[in-house]
Amino acid sequence: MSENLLKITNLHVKAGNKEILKGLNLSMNKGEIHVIMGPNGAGKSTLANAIFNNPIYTRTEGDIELDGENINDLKTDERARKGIFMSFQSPEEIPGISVTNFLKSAKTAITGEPVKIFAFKKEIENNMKELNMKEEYASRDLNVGFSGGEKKKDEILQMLTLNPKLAILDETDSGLDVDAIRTVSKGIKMFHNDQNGVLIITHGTKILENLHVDYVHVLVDGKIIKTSTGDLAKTIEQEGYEKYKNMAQHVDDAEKEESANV
Amino acid sequence: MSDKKKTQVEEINRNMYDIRNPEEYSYKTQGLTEDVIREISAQKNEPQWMLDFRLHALEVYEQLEMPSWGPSLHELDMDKIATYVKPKTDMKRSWDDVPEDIKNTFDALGIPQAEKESLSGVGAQYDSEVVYHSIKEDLKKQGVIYTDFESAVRDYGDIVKKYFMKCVPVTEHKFVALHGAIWSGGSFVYVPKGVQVDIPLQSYFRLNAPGAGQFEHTLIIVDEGASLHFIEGCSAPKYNEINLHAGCVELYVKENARLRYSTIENWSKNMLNLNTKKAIVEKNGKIEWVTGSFGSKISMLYPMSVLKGDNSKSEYTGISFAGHGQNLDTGLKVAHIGKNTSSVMNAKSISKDGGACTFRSSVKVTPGATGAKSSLSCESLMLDDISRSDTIPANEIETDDVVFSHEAKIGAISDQTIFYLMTRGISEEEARAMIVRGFASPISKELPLEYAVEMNRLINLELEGSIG
Amino acid sequence: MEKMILNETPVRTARSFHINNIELKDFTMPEIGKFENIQIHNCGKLARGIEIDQNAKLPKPSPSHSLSQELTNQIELNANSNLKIKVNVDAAETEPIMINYTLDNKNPNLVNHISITADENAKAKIYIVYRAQTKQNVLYHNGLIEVNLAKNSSMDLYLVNFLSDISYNLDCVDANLAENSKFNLITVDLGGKYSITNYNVNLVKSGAEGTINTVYLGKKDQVFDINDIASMSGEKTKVSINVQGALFDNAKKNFKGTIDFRKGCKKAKGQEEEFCMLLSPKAVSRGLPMLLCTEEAVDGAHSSAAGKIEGDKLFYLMTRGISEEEARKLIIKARFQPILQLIENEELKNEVLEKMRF
Repeated sequence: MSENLLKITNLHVKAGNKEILKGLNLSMNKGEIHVIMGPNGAGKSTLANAIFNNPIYTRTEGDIELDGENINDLKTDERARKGIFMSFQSPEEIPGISVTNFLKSAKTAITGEPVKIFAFKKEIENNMKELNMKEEYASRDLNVGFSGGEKKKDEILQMLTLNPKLAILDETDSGLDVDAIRTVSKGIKMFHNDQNGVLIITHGTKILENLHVDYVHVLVDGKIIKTSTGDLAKTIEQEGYEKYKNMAQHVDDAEKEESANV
Repeated sequence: MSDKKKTQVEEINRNMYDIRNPEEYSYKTQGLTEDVIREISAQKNEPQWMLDFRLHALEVYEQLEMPSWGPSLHELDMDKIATYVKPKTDMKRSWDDVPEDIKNTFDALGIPQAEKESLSGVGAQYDSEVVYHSIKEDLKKQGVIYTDFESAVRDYGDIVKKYFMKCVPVTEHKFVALHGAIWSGGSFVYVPKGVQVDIPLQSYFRLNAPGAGQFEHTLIIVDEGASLHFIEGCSAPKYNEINLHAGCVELYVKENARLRYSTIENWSKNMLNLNTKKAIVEKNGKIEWVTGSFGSKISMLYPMSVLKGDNSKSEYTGISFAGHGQNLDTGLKVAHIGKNTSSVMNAKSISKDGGACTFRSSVKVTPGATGAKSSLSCESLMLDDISRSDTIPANEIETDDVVFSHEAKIGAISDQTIFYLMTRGISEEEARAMIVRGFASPISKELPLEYAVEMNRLINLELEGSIG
Repeated sequence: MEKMILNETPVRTARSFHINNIELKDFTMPEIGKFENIQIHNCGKLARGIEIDQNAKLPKPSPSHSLSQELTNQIELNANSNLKIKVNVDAAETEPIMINYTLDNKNPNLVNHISITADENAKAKIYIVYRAQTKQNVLYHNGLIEVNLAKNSSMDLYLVNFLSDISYNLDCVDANLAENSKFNLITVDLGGKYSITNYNVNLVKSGAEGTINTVYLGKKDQVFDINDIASMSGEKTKVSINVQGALFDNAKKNFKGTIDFRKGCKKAKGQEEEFCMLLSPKAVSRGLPMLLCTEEAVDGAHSSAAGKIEGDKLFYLMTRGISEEEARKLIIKARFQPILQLIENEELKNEVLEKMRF
């Protein structure tokens, strides 16, 4: 029997005065890979950031539960310590902090105990090899001067090192060449097991090629309007979002009618 | 991140620096008159030329005006500053002979460790007179002279007379003139031609008497093809009266020579630090300044590189950290004179808790200095909205064959950077401290390990496992 | 002969840096007589929504900063040309206003005071051009333009100095910007033995945006002393200062640029860029690009650079068959182009290019 990992109920989120998520529902079990697709501006990145309480966004309604525990009131770092990870679209550059030292600090913060330096360094080294990252990056300043591809690989390296329960990948594949996407995909495969979950936000299907995707959700105008099995991704890639945009309109109209009737 | 907290980079625990010894002085004068200067000179048993020099400097001092710019110095009352304080101990050659209470103070500052580790000659200045001085035998064998300044005047009179206050003339500004009149203590280093001094020479300055001024003179000559790293560290106990530091550092870097001059300024927060430093660099020579300014109430400190010889170079790496009640006005001056000279500067500042940092610089490229290259970069970090950070860089370019560029940035820690770190499980406070430490790291990287550790302690970024 | 000290920086630095102010040692203040050579017109349509009063009694000048108290006093007491320009809300569609001052042997001295106000939501473009029609007499111009922009208004102000190279051009602009107003100042500084300018943009209220764009070109013994000051006090205000110039012969330039992030200017952005092309070994470029800050969440940056024309650019153009001389000119023009293209009036732009000939 599969256990629930993430449950989002009726989530409403604003950026400034603008409502972006308008009653989003999503449920994920352990061991699953979910994909979120949707047109630009639909609220995909907002969802990822809202799960992590980014101060740019305000949750006005709804609940987020991880492992059956409501995390609505937790700070960003507390959520990370509960086991959530997010790969950023544009990872921040932090001068003066090396990748290794940063990972050490983060791992210590998450596990609450000091890392064993030698084994830890070895682990990083191995993971970097798997991700085709040059060794020198371990001692370079975090993301400073990294190319787009290197930054994304560094995000995956962080994911492997911190080993979260839930990994959210926010368009990790965008702007990457085919080889880099394969590497990222490989990283996800290395990470994934029956105790954790991966939520992939993407426009493409390349990143999904070697993964077993359990569900694809279509997010349009702040709501998930269709959920289907993995094949949907291919269809969307070929056909685009047009017909779903119309669906969103229908849903809206239907809701309006409903509320008018009340 | 609902309740937005300001950065908590904790105040440095100064208790360990603020140890005060019961005052025991064999001699002490107050205020500034010709008589005072004659007495100082007599006490030091100086040659006539030095007394004449002091009296001339006093005349200049009286004529010059206070600076019309920079931090206000209205609290300074020369009549109240004991210009010269000589502790009871005479010159000591061996650590064992140093009196216990003075030793304890140095212990707290980590000096004996440095000695134990054989980190070469320690010239430690206690109040105005060098009380402890040792120099490693192998340095002596190489012909390196490293001695206190009074001995240098006595034992190397000719060479001192040739160089003393020629690099920094007493007319340069009021506090240099003051220094010329009442200088006391300091270091003299001569590195002969072709000698590479592998271990850094260190000197630890310290002030102890309430209201005492410190006017030490540092004169370093690195002869042709030689190289040296000199480290100057400062820490003073805290007293109620305003303290004045008006030292003078003169550096001569000869052809093909190289000198790195590192400073950690950590004066107590009632100190007025009006120090003057200048290097004259000959052909193919190189001066490197590494500066961390953390202490003092007011600092006005702008080391100057005079790139006199062709292909001479200057590098500057500096950081200032101003907290509550501090006004740190620091920077660099460069004069490009020879052909194909180059200067590179990286300056950083951090202001918090009402502190003020000013970065002030000037780059001058003189008419004959063709092929000059100069690049400056400064970055300022504001940790709250009650502090202040100013950037005042001047340039004067008098030749067309030059590549000059300057960049400056000012900003705060971005919320999104903090968010990024927090998604990795790091708390908001840790994230801020981490970013500050990263900001300062280009400077700590340039320092020998024990000083880098001290600097990190000064910034107090207590990140578990962050060093190593 | 008298000594005049002008154009102090808002914050002083060491005197030995030669940039706190500029001293005119051999200056004789002329008698200020009448000035009658002023022409005002729209380039096209009538100035609907714009009121111009040439006989207005203007209030006592009170700029936030000025070239000197003495010069401000002269404007208050001895101005020989006063202009009051009021831009109403329905002025949005009108063509730019063109104001021409021509200094000649009969009208060698101009002391002008201009007050420009814009109503809420109003928009206007105003060109002010100073020309010389004599090469014999030393011409003197002391000017003050006070600009007050109401909410959401927008103003492009162009100042063009074509005075002769034995003249004095002393000019001050002081602009106060209300909520979400926009002010663009575009200046072309070509004339004057001394051209001493102080442009102040005060971003008083939230969302205000200002730019200062200056092109100068110095020849012979010309001296330019530029003092740009942007004071940010409103939240989310933005300012950008861009100064591009070239110096030939013995020309000198002092650029003082200050972005002052004051209390309350949270999330303000300010940037400053200066570049001086040195085209003679005797030219002198001095710079002091200052950032002052007492507020936390701001974003400030400045860059300043000087040097001769980059060799690789020259080489690149020459491999395409362009002569070195031509290539030089092209590169210099390319530097100025982003600012010059802001001048929408083609006739004036051509006149600028013509006068810039080198």
